Amino acid sequence: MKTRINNTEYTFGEHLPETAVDLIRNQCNLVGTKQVCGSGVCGACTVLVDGTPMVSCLLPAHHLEGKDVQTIEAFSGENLHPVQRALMAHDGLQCGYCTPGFAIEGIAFYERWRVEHGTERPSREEVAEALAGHLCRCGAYAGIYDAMQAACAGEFDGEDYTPQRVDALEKVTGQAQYTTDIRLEGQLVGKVLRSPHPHARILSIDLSEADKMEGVEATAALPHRNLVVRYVGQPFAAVAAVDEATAQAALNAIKVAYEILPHVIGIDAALAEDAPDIWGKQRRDAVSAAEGATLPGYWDKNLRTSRVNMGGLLPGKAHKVVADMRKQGKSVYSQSYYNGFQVHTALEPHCAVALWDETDHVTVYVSTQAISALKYYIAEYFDIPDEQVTVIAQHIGGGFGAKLALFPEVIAAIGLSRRCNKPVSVVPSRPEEMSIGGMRPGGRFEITIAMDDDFKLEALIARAYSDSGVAISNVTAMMGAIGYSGGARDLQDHDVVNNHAPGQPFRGPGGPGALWSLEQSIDQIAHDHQLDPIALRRKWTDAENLRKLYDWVEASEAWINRPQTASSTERFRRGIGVAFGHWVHYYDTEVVIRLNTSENGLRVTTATQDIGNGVRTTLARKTAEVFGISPTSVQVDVGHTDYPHGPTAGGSRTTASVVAPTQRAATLMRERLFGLVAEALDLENAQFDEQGIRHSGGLLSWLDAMKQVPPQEVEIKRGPDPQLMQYVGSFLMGRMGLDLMFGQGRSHAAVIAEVEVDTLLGKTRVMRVWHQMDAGRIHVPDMARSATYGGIIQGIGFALYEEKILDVPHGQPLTTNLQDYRIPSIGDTPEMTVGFQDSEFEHVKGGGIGLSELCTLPVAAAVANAVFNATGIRCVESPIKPERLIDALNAKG
Amino acid sequence: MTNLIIATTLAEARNAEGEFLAGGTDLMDRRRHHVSTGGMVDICRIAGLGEIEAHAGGYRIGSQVTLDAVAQHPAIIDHYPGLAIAAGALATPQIRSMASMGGVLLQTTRCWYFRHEAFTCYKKGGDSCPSREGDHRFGVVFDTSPCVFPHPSTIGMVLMNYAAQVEINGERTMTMQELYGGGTDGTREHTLAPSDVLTQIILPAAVNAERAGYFRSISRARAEWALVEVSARLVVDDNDQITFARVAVGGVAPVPMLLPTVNDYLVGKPATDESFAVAAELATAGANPLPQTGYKVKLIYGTVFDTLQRAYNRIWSGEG
Ligand SMILES: Cc1cc2nc3c(=O)[nH]c(=O)nc-3n(C[C@H](O)[C@H](O)[C@H](O)COP(=O)(O)OP(=O)(O)OC[C@H]3O[C@@H](n4cnc5c(N)ncnc54)[C@H](O)[C@@H]3O)c2cc1C
Ligand code: SF4
Ligand code: FES
Ligand code: FES
Repeated sequence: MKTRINNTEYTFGEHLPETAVDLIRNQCNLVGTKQVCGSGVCGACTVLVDGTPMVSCLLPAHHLEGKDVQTIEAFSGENLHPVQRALMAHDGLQCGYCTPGFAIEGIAFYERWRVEHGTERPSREEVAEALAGHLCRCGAYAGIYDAMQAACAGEFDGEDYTPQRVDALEKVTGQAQYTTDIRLEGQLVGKVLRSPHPHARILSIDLSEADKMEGVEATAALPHRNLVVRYVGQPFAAVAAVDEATAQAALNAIKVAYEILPHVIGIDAALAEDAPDIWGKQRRDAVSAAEGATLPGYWDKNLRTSRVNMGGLLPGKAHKVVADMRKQGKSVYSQSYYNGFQVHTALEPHCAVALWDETDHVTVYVSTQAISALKYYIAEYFDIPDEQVTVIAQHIGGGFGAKLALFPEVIAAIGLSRRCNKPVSVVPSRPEEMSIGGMRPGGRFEITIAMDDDFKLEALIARAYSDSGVAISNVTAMMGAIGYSGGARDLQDHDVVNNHAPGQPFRGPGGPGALWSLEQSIDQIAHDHQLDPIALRRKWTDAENLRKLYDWVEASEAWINRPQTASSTERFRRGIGVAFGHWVHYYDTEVVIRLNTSENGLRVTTATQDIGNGVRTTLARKTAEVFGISPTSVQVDVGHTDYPHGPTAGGSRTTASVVAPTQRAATLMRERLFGLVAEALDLENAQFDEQGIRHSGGLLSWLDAMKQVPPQEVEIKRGPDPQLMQYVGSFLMGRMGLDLMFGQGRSHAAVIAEVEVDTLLGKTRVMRVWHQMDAGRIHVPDMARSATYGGIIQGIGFALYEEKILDVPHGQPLTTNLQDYRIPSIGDTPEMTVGFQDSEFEHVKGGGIGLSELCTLPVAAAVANAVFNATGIRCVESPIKPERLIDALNAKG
Repeated sequence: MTNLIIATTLAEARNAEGEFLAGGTDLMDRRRHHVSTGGMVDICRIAGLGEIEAHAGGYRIGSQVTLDAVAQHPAIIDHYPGLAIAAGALATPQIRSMASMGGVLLQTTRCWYFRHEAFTCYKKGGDSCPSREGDHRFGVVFDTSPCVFPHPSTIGMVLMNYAAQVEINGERTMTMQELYGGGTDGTREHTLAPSDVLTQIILPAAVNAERAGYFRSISRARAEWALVEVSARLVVDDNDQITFARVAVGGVAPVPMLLPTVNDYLVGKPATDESFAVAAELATAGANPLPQTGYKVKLIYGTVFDTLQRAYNRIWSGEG
């Protein structure tokens, strides 16, 4: 078969893969084209075939015969397209995994548009229609809209553009290398064997048939004495083979004898009298769904109760207050709320490629949020010295909390590679990823609120029954402690274990669910008592930072002009809702920033990773600012554990951990250069200047100054803030000492959402969102804004669309593809306005704290409150899908 | 690919062993996810199946014509607007550029149990329906078959509403009703034999001054499988009286459903919201929803009402 790809003639032999994406990625090694959903929904695999965008994951490879194909690689260097420049300038990308697909489709749209409309600006609707076949999990849609409109209008026809991210060019040209793109010499395909049963004891695992198969290079299984699998998809064996088909055949050849055990799915079933005891005597092995260590708790069969009840909040008194008020016939608010499971759905799955060398050193490419931590986890698991592990993650196609731990694909890749001494990659399929790749726990949240006659908070009782499958240690009810003050509280977290895949931390763990309940309760109480919802909140707190956010809401046009609740009888009803979020802040004390100078300029290194959070950009900007140069002239290297310890991208800690030491390192370096250069060159009247060294002969810029002296290096450690710490924890459980600090003070967010509810079809659209945050100094405003757009969009997904659904009789996840699991698309993106409130975090080094979890927390609750405002329907259950809303609308009449 | 045969003539295709492959947007998905594992017979190179042309007073569309070509074709836009709107609204732009008219009519069910490797069911040669016992929230409201998932084809529903016929093997024709059968056989989506090639779609003469609409109920803005979808065609006279009405609904039954009682009711009525509301109510008659599909009865009402309005107002959009 002959095909022209990117102006090169290819001739392919007899053995074509089935689909074009495999041909392009594996035979042509054009890995800019991504494969995500494999079912035509996400558009990551889009290529141009004779100029028409097509999804290469469904395109039969032999249909390329005689065709002219263009992949993203065709659009680089001189051929960089205006659409790509626009995407860079408008930050229409975060992790970048979806970007090649969007760029290809955008290029085709631009070309069509220009022919038909010249430089007229397309509407948002027209852009959304054209890009309907693409999904971006980071939620870069706002930038994509802007980029497409600006490019079509001709704003990027010239060569000029300023990228917002320093790694944008790599991402829009498909050059950015993700773990799925690693192709090492002799690399094998690893696959994991997973339990087809939701609960079973493994009696035996027979690998012998698989071992004998031609092309199988390694097999491995967990020791199966007493091995019990507790969810569908639980991994317990793995194979490595020369190709995908052989690996699959080998998996099929593994003989496993199971003793099927009874299973339960769902909270009610798990708490029923006749439910099996899922963890039984092995409770110690129960995995944690939380970000940190497992919180202490006690068990009653499948119900686990956390011992942490935010001390000093007087739980006993809370119940007494409620009982007394009920006795007196006073109104007490009480309601249960429910949340479905939200799946992280990073577009790049949990994957790894491992290779051992002769010195027993293992190099692992991983799609991870935590290279530094992972290095220690791996060393511990495989019982080798830390120095013998290298972890590399240049680009990561999204994480959102699900890629913090040592996940099974990493263990499988390393274990298999050790057995066969060849590089092994393990990349789960989309159904595997959607089934076991992590989810935000769902569950029931029971809330009771009692107020005094002046509506001040007297008692708050919150009971969370969290369902994170077989995992434990959820923190949801406890979120009731941050935010409002006053009153006695009983905040009790329960885990209800049942037979499905473990939940994992997800952007603000516990937060969206807790606020879904709490912020809707406040809204309902205000409505019931004809109070203004902001006035009511003012009675519950006098925190300065929150008061400022209340002022902001009250001054907002949207809020002032909000309709009366349920006042419309039209088919389409508009509603405005508000909600607030609060979060703690963390940082990593041990982070070290290394700054080097050389002939080539400045280089910053630290062993963190850019998951789309823009840490490369943050490091470049903060360094460049000190030297008064352009960020693009600072070389930033992250994503490699040879560099000094860097922060995990989790707990919103990255920016708060890296900025202060970066600024300090740059400042010290500048001082050092001044001294060294002035002396070395014997400059007359040398004076320190922001731009460089001023002297009698003129100005020597910092970049030129560096060239005058031998290479220099400065290393600065973040260290703790001077203020007293409230709590100190460690993610690494003792391996690295105290690396994670719980900082002082809270961040806050206010969200106003405007929805339009189609009451005929039960459909809710979020039209606009106004978002205001209080998180100290905003170090890199455009990265913060992009992160917030993403947080808003994921919050909308939580509120309206996303829900993992399980088949109860078989414990099988059903939402295993991106059609049935619905993440927000570009057309679902509201117009968003993001702002930041000046605030004092002077006790924090650098003055700023994290916000990328905070930003998503109150969004879903604001949407639900807006739906209430529009319709008078209180949606206690998320997501608010047509299936649910239409019944409620009809019941209401 | 060793198990691929590329047929260049009908005879070759009909005699080869394997499942026909057209655009691949359904079949390749099932192959990737190990739901279809046998051989493939590519029918894209058979001559004469790629044209849209005037035929016997109406039009004829070759089975290899893509959805996008149908949506863009001036004659289709003029004469069969309801077909053009629907062909331009379903799935995504990329899929519409790849998917064939034959494939869209003969695609397999979208049931999530069917497309899940772990399950077997009537449609995979098994003897049960795990969806009926398990989750069937996207299931039928007219429960006439052992299989509870609705027929997937948007275009099948629309073509039924246009009283189209299909030509099989270049030899015989059948109505859309004959193609899909009575909705009681839970094992198949259509009545063709595995060796039958759908060669042409034959549209009858266009109806003068037709106003048409197509709309679907979904949760997001676009590119989502319909919960309920409706095709409506109307002709109104100078006094805004309806003189011709054809309404069909998809997503609710094992095969797309025509609504003759709705049509009968509408003819002679004024084209008003009041008439549309009564028609929409009539559309739900006889529904016997499953435990989890009661909501769809309300969506039938809403979608029929909305689509009638769209048809009347000539709103050229099937989504959003
Ligand atoms: C994201 C997404 C959303 C979608 N949304 C919708 C939607 O809303 N509504 C809708 O109707 N569809 C929808 N589809 C399905 C899409 O329309 C079908 O996949 C497509 O039309 C199938 O056409 P194809 O040519 O690619 O068929 P193929 O995948 O090649 O074939 C499909 C089946 O038809 C058989 N077949 C094909 N042509 C012939 C023929 N001429 N004679 C005999 N047998 C034949 C094949 O053997 C195969 O079994 C969606 C698909 C995707 C990926
Ligand atoms: S609904 Fe139909 S396709 Fe789905 S499992 Fe039942 S028989 Fe199979
Ligand atoms: S990978 Fe092809 S569309 Fe998602
Ligand atoms: S930037 Fe789109 S998925 Fe990450």
